[in-house]
Amino acid sequence: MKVESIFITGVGQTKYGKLEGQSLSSLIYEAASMTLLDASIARSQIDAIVISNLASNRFNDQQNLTALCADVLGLSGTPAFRTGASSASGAAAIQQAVMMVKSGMFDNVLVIGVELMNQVPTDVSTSILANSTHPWEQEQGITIPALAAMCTRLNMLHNGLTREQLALVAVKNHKNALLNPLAHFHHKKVTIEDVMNSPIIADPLRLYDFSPRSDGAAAIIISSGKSVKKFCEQPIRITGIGAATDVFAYMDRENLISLDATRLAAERAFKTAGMTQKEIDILEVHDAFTPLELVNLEDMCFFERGSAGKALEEGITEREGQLPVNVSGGLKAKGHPVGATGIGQVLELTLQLRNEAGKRQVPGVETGLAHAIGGFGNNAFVTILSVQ
Amino acid sequence: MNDKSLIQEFKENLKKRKLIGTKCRTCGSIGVYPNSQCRKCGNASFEKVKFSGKGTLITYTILHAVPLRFKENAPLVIGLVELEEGGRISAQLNASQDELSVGKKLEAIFQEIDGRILLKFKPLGGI
Repeated sequence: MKVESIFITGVGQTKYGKLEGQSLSSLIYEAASMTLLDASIARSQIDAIVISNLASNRFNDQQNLTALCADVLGLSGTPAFRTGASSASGAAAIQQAVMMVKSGMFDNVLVIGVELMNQVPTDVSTSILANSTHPWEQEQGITIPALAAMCTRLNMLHNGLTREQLALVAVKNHKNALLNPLAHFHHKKVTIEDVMNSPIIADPLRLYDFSPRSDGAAAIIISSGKSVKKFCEQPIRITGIGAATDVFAYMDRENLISLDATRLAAERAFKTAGMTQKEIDILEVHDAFTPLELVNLEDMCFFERGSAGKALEEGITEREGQLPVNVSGGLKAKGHPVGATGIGQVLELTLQLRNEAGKRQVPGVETGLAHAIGGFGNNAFVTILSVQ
Repeated sequence: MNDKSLIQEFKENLKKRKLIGTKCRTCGSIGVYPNSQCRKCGNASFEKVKFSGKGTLITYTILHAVPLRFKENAPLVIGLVELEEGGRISAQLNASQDELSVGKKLEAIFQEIDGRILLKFKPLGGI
């Protein structure tokens, strides 16, 4: 089934980073208010809310963000739903909203993602994030970075992936974030040596291979075609969505070297969009760990197996390259407030497609693809956008 | 048998220092940690497989950033092991960095930690 006539009519986000003095409510309010203003839509026109969050019950001792969110925005009475897909929850929320509008039941759905991760110490946060792995893996002390490290080792052995290429992902995405004032690492330039000399987290992966723990919120409004004509000057069309899951425990997967859920989600998104990889101008790819950017690009068939690293070395995925990837800075440097991340990716593409991305604007982009995974590739979501 | 009793049985066996998994009665595929439904063919009838505990290291990592309750044991050496009868299991390894290489032959050991039996692997014939 084609997506057809589903639009993004407003976007907004807070700064990502270690934010002092913020609460879930204040972040939700800031991102949502900016989004309503951006869409020039009255609050009364929002007829449903979808909220995305990983673990406010653990990070902030707060549950039931659906009612909290509606109340904070003065929208009590409005139906509100929550989606969960680990670190891909934001992308799941967007696809949920697309289906809600597509169903004809709602015309304007506000999608909000929020995470406030820095209220707990790092080791507590490591434990909370490891809850996304299989029960057996948790019992052995295996974290998502540990799974990523084991997969990376196989790519180094069999696909020619090099330690330097991984470092180069971090260097590129930090460079991109220098042009993104809302990025977690807006002022931090990183060199290959910085990455190679950073402490080992999960051998062969080092500290600078990982996205930071960020606080932040992002929101977008998904609207129907009949609604969009009334208020939006520059709607961006959602042309394709695709989602997939994979075998829960890494040990039980046939494919240990890449992420089948990414491959399936991309195939489905391209099918609903009626488009091919060659027609995509710009991408936001889930790079919570540097190897993921490369492996996921290969799984989505933008590059052949084992060649995304070379494409990176040749500058193809740089902001000025033929296929810019993570111009926002990616999860790596823009930041990764888990529940907000997938929404922030689509926000970046929306700004780029509207030609409103400021200093980091890539000229002439008309189509974009956002990719998010949950757990270690347990869930994947691919969303394709285009200008009218 | 349902998932709960399969997992219970697997863990009871580990406590008895036995590694016993499942073999699908329909397609023959072997699982170490049990799943209610065969992932290959979708059937749900299994016979037991007793593993020798010998296997091959498929991939590994040395994990420095560990969850809270493993803090005392950091860093953890973690590996993915393919057992000689088939099936894979991830576990901690008792091995030093220079003993680690993909393809290394390993054997299972059962280590008692705080009254719990933990399945680990060590280099075959090693200490």
